[in-house]
Amino acid sequence: MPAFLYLTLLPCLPLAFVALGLSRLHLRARQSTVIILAGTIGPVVATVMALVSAFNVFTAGPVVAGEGIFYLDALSALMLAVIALVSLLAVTYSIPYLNREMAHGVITISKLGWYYFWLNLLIPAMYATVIVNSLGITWVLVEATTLVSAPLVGFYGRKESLEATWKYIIIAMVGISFALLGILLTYVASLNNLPESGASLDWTFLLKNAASLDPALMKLAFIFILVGYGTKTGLAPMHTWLPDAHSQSPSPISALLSGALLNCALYGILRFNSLTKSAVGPEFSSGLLIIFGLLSIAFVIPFMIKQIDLKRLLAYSSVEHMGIIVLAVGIGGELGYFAAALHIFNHAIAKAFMFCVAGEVTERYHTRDIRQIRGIVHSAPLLGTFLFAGTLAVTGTPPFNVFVSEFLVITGAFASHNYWAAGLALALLGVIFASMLYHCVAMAFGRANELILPSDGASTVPVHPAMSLPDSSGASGFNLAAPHMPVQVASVSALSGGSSNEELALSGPDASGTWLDRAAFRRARTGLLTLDKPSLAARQTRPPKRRLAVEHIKTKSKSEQTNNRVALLILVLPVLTLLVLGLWVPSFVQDWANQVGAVLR
Amino acid sequence: MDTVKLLDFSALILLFSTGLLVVSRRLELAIGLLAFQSLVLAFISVLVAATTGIEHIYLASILTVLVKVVGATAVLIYVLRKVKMRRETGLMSRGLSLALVVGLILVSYNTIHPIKLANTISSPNSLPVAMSMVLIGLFIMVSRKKALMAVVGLITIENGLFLIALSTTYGMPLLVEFGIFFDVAVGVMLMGFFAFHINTVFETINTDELNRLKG
Repeated sequence: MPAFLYLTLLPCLPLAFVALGLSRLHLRARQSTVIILAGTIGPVVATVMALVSAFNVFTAGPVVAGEGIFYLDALSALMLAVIALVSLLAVTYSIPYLNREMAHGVITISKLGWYYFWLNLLIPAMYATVIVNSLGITWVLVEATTLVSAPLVGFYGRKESLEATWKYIIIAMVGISFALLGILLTYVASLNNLPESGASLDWTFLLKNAASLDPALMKLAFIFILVGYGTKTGLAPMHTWLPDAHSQSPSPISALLSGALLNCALYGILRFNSLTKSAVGPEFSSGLLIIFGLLSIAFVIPFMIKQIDLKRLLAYSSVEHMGIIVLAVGIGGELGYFAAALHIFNHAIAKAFMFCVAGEVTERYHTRDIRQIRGIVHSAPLLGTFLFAGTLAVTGTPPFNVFVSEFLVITGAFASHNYWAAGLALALLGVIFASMLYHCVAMAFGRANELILPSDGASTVPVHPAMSLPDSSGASGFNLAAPHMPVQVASVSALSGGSSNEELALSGPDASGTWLDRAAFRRARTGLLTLDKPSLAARQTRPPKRRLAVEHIKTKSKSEQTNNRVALLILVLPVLTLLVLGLWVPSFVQDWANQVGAVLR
Repeated sequence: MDTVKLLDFSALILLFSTGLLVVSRRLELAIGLLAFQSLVLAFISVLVAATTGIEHIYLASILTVLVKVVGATAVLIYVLRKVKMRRETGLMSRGLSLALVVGLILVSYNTIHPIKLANTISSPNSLPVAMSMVLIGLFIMVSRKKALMAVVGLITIENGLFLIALSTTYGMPLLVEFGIFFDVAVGVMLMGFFAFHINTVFETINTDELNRLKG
C-alpha cells in the first residue's frame, strides 16, 4: 500500500520534462501527438493509482506511510478521488482542445510542451497536498500549486491573461502568507504546551493533543488560516482573483482549477477547523465558517446577474459552491458534515464538466460573451443539451447530484436549528438559480438576431469574410493569415439576418480556422457596422434555425469535426455521473461520505 | 555588547531599512535595501543559531543569503535592466507614506507587546519589528504601482514571517523551512518572468494598467 503512495506521484514528474524536451526537438505540427501522449500518460496513471489508494483508505481505514510523512484518512481519500477524476477529465479533454488550438494556430509546439510541463507539475503537487501529514508541508505544497498553475493561467499570453496571472500570483501569495502566520502560531501553541519532536506540526500529533493547545493562540491561528487559505479557496471577499484566473486560463485548466485546486486549499481549512474545534470548542470556528459561507453565496449574486462572460459566470458559481461547502461544515452535525463531503465531490465533477462545456461553446462561437452565444441547442444539439443539463446540475436542480447535497446542507441547517442561515441560503440559492438559468436559456434556445458590439476589443465579435464582399470600403483589407481574432460563420449569418447576406455567408470560403489580427479586426468591425445598416431592413425575415445547424457542420473541416466529436464523447461520462448520483446515492458512497464526515467532526 | 543587545540592535536596523524602503523612489535603491534587509536577517539568524546551538538555523541563514540576498536581487536587477525602468511614483507622497508606516509600526508594537511567549529569545524588539515588516510589506504592495515593487513587498512580508518564526519558535521545522525557501525562490523567478512579460505586452510595468478584467 505505501508503495502505491509514492508511485502516485512518480509518473508525472519525469514525463513533465519529457513533454517539454520533446517540444524542443523541432517537431513538425503533425507530430505534436507525441508530446500530447507524453503529457497525458502521467496524469492518467496517477489517476488510477490515486483511486486505488482512496479505495484502500475507504475500505481499510487510515494509513500512515513513509515514516510518518504521509497520512491518509477518509478526507484525504475524498480529495484524492476528486483530484483524480477531475484531472482525468482535464487531461483527456485537453487532447481535442489543444489539437484544435494547434490547428487554429493559436499555440505553437513549444507552447504545447510548456502546457504539459506545468500540468504535470501541478497535478502531483495537488495530490501531495492532501496526503502529507505535516500542516507546514501542506502549506508549502499549496503555495507550490499556486506557482505551477500561474503559467497555465497565463498560457495564452494575451493582455487579459497576463493581468489575470499577475493578480492570481500576487493575491494568492499574499493570502497564503497569512496562512503561514496561522501555521506559525499553531507551531508556537504546539511547542509551548507539548513536548518538542519532529512531529510537532503533524496533523495526527496535533489532533491527539488538541485539548492541551492554548485556545487563544488557536483562535488567532484559525482566523489567519481562514483568511489565508480562504483566499486560495475563493471565499468572498478574498475571491477577487478567482473569476479572472478561471476565465482567462484554457478551459481544461479552468476545470482543473475549479474542480481540484480550490479543494486543495479548502482541505487546509477543513483540517484546521477540526483542530480548532478540539482545542477551543465548536462555536468559534463554526460561526466564522457560516459567516464566510453565506457571504460567499451572497457576494456573487450581482456579478452573476449582470455577467456577460460565460466562464466568469461559472467562476462566480465556484465561489458560491465553496461558500456552500464551508457553510455546511460550519453548520456541522452529522447531516452537515455528510452533506459537505458529498458536496465537495458533486461540485468538483459538475463544475469541471461545465468548464469543459464552456470550452466547447467557446470553440464553436469563438467568444465567451454570453450575449453572442445563442441557439446552441439548434446548431449543436448534444452540446446544447450538455450546457443545459450542466447548468441545471450546477444550480442544484433535481435530478442532478448537486441537488442532493445542497438539499442535505439546507436540511442539516434546519436540523441544527440554524434557521436564519438555512433561510438565507435558500433564498440566495434561489436567486442564483434564476440568474444562471436566465443566461443559460438564452444561450441554449435564444435566437441570434441582435448584433452587440463590445465596448472594447476584449471579447470578439464574429465576422465573416464573405460579408466584406458587397461592401468593399471598410472591410476588404483582411489579413486572413495573421492569427489573432477568430472569425466564425454560423453566428454571423444569423446576425446579418438578411437573406442575401446569408446566401453570401453560405457561399463564402470556409471560415473555420481563419483569423484576423487586431488592426484588421477593428477595420472589420467598422466594415461590419456599415454593412449591417442595409441589412437591418432585411432582418424582418429571420433565418430558419435548422439552416444554421446544417451550415454549422458544413463549415468545419474533417479533423475539426473529429475533435469536436471526441470532446463531446469525453463529456458523456461526467454528465452521466451527475445524473446517476442525483438519482441514486449508492450505499457505499453514503458510507464513504459518512467516513469523511467523521474526519471533519 | 552581549548577544541580546546585538539582536535588539539588529532588529532596529531591520526596521529602519524597511522604513527606508517605503520612501525610496529609485527602484535600484529599493532592491539594494531589500538585499540589505535580508542580509541583516541572515545575520540575526546566525546570532540566534550561535546562542541556542540549534544547527538547522545555520542552514536557514545560508538559504536566506542564497535565495533572498543573492537570488532575488539578481532576478530583480536583471528584470530592471530589461525593462529599463528607474524611478517609481507611488500612489501617495513620501511624507504620507512615512506617516502611515509609523502608524503601522505603532500598531504592531501595541498589539505584540502584551503577548508573552515562553520560547521567545529575550530581545524585546524582534517580534514587534517582525510584525511591522509584515504590515509594511503589505503597505508597499498596495501603495506602489510598479510590478517589481510588489515583489519587493512580498519578500518583505516573507522576511517578517521568517523573523516571527525565528523569534517565537527558533524557526519552522527543517523540511518546512526548506520548502518555504524553495517556494520563495520559484515565486520570485516567476514574478520576475511575468513582470518582464507584462512589460513587453503592455509596454509598462505599472500595475494600474492591469484594469481590463472587471465584473
